[in-house]
Amino acid sequence: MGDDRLVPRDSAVYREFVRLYQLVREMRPISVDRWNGDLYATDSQRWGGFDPRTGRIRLSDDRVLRHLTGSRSEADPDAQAEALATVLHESTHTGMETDAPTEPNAVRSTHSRGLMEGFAELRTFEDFDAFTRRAGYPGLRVYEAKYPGAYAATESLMTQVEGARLSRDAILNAGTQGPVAMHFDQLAEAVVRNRLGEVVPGRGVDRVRVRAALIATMTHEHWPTLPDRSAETGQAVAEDIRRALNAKVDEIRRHYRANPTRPFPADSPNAEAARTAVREVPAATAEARNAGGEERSAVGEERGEMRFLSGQAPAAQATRLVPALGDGSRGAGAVRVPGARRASAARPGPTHPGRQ
Amino acid sequence: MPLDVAKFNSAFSGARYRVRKEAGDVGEEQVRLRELIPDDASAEDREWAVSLVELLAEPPPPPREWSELYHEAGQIHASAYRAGGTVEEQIAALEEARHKIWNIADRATKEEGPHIRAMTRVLEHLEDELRDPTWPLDDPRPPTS
Repeated sequence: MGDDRLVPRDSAVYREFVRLYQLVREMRPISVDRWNGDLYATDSQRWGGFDPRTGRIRLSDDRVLRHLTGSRSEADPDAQAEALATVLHESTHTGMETDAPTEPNAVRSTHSRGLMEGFAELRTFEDFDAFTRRAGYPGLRVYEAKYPGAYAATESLMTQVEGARLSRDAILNAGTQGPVAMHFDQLAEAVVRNRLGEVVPGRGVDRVRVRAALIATMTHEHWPTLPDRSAETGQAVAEDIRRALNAKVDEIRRHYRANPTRPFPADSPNAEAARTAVREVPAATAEARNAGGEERSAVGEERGEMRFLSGQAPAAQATRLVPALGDGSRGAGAVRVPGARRASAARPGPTHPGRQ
Repeated sequence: MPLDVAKFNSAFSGARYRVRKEAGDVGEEQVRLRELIPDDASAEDREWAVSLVELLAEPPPPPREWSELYHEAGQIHASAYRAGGTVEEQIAALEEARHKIWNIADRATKEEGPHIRAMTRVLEHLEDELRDPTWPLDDPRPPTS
């Protein structure tokens, strides 16, 4: 934007932003660092955001940057709370990979755009207290969105898929890593583990297809856009999804009771990737498929399954990512700022030499 | 051994959810959280972690009473979020909603205004995504049940 100003790296506000940015990245597993280190201030009527094309972050000078003082504001705590929430939200975006074009279960649609924002807001709300206390801004408060939108829709889905084996928090940890296009696949995996763990065989083909079938129930035609619908209808849509999900779970149970060796039939949400995956199966594997009947067409999907379960990125982007679902990935790609919790200890200047 | 910040944060987040939403036992959750704080954790890490353990025992703050302005802005957000039509029409709806919500925030109190204005954080990002999409906008939607 024309009127944006590059924030000098030796300025106090830049150093404070970097300190906060690093703190956010320490608090959840992340997979990438997409920020290029350039911070822009804007006077436009916007909060700002992360631009994935340039790697820049731009933030409102008035609504965000001027509140990053290093300590709690007694005069304007509500404004400061939303400024810090914005830092938390944007820093979540930069740690999250987005597209997964080669994954059969990638959902590359409007649904995932809404879910991406929903996850970022959910994480912001969930971690706000811990983040602001750690950053030296205790006692601030933000409020759960009650109106229909990305947060409410994502929260609704979370309550439907969470369970004892894959908790809400584990799902949120997976969500903060992305890729965004695989968020629905992550929710579907939660359903598999929490409700179908004893039913679906461990074979990759079964699990990928079962997740594909579950994804179809969650990407309701009226979610997340809910065109021309009232808030009450939004609740009805959530109930529709719940019913469809429950019915599909029952159908999957019946299928495997009757046909334990036959993968559940389902269409991949990313049909092109599914076709490509099958074409790329090596010859030796193709022979095994020919001999294996039901195993055919599954091997490519199984590779995707293994990538998901290991937390690895699609192969095309592997160099930009590190294993995600484990622990050891935090701060990957970024140089940690020693003692980052103290504003005075934050180091000026670029902190991300290894970025893409 | 330093405190595993992400592990502790995640454990705290889960514990708070169980306490507040599932009537989980506060004392048991606090014991589990304390076990995650290593003996040789730094003073700063310990102070932070212990403050969260103690926070778990505090009753949740009461829900905030919002003015009509907040609810009016929330409806504008919801309408824009679910706006249909062409990409250009969706962008226009999101942009218009942002301006309306900020104008409402300007009329609200100093305490409520920032939270009303924050309703546009998501709208702004969706608008940006429509203008410069991560993947093609005309991709077919996945099958629905």
